[in-house]
Amino acid sequence: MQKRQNKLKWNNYRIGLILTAAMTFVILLGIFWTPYDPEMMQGSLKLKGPSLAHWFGTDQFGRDVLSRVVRGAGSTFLIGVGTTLIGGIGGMILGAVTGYFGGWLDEILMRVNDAAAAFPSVLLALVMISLWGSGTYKVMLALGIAFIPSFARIVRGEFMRLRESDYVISARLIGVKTPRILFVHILPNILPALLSALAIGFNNAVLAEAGMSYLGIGVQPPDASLGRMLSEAQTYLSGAPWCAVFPGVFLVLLVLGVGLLGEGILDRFGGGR
Amino acid sequence: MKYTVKKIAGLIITLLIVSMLAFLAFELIPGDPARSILGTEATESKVQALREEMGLNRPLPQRYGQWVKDFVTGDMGTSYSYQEPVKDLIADKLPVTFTMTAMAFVFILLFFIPIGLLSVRYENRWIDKLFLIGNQVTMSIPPFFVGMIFTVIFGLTLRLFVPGGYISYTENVSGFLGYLIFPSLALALPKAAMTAKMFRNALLSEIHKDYIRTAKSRGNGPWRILICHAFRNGILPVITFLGMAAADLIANSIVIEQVFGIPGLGRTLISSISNRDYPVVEAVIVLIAAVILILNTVVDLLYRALDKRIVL
Repeated sequence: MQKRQNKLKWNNYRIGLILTAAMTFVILLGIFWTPYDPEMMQGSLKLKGPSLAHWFGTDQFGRDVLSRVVRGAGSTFLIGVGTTLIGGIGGMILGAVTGYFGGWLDEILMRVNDAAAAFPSVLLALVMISLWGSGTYKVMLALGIAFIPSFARIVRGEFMRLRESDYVISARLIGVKTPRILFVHILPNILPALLSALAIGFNNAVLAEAGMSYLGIGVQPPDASLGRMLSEAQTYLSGAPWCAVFPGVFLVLLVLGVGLLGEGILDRFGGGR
Repeated sequence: MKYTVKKIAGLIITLLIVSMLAFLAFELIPGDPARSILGTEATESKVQALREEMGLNRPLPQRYGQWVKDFVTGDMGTSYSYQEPVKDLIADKLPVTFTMTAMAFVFILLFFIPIGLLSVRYENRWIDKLFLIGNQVTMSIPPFFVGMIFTVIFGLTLRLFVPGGYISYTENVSGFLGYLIFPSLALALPKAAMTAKMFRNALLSEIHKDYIRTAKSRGNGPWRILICHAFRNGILPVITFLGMAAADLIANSIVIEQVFGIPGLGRTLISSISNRDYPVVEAVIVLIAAVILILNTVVDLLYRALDKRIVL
């Protein structure tokens, strides 16, 4: 038994944490420093394969793919985090209030919510983008709003589960104020479920952003994002596959890391669930 | 029976809410539809005449009623950019998207059931571990990137299909289906991996229950136990997930159509969004929403029919 505890277990949580930390580090580093200027075009270096000077090769304008991947992942990451924050905070407030109080407000909000949650969030975001146009911050807002229903559903379920638990009833009896019960007493107990939902949300946001930018209705030039890079690389797939492979693999690693981390949190801290 | 009626009533209410929201959303867009059709050159009196003709001067609830009535009877308005009825624009695109999504769904079923069963039968052995890693990686790949990988491997290198060489179903049905194999496979793979993982976990939680031990002690073989006993209960949570997966397939097909150059509903939607052709966007979105909501209701009813333990 002792031996097993000492042994480093390569579980979801650990692999996810390491992968996420590594990707985050590279992305944060990319904000301050990239090997080349991601926008710098060199006519003599068009569509050159990977080399020592340009590890990931160069694109159709002779721009360094490595620098662009790192910078592009930055916008993708930003949209992922922004979306998760908007959806997470909105969904948390909505879910906490409806789950804790119930009643007619819950009935109405959840009817609307179920209709929205049944709907792929990408499509909801598409509707909003079609109404107010595209661009990094608009995509973030559209996806964030589109994710509120699914977060609200999870949070509501958790609050409903805990609202009649002994410690909440005791807190209510000794006169703790409702906002304090909601956010100081109950919230920490649903944190594992919430965090893993946020991880899934982050991944969905990253994948949705990539898809939308690929379609040309997401991040707009000159901003780079992984989805936009893949979209541009499509034309050169046969001659310069590296333009697509590296942004794609970077995207997959990011999603894989956060996905494993989310599952790991639930395995490790999920407790009674 | 009571449950079925309740579910269908719920579906109708939800459909009304969705249609109302969609109608309001596209009603709030700044700009005058009459002017969009006539262009900026038109005189004010002409625009007013068209507004009157289109019924834009009537009160909102009345216009909503008219819109729902028209939509149900198949009149989905006129496209701004093509000056054609929206119905005609999307009528021949629907079968394309539907076929691709349906094929992708069949692929999901073909993949997840054997993978799930094999993983549980050989739990913690190499085959299970291989599938575990494979599933985890596959479900992290966006479908359109799978499509690009397929284009390079099966299209450009192995020459199994011609990238961009879409064949219409009106020309050659088998050629059409053949071209859709790789797009629908790309669409299906990430979801199939997710489903397989879910099915494995559901089966694993069943396999340690008492009734399985009873079945085992009565001398049933491991495959027989899995397929005849655990399968029925293990598949239940997956059915709900499959409903959501089907909805996601429809959403993702929009991107896949772009990768493989397939003229389906998704391409129409995207080009209409770029052209601000709102009647088309509105019609496609409401149509997709209706399909997804009906699908969800069917899944709920199916679940109920399969699991007699649920009593509401």
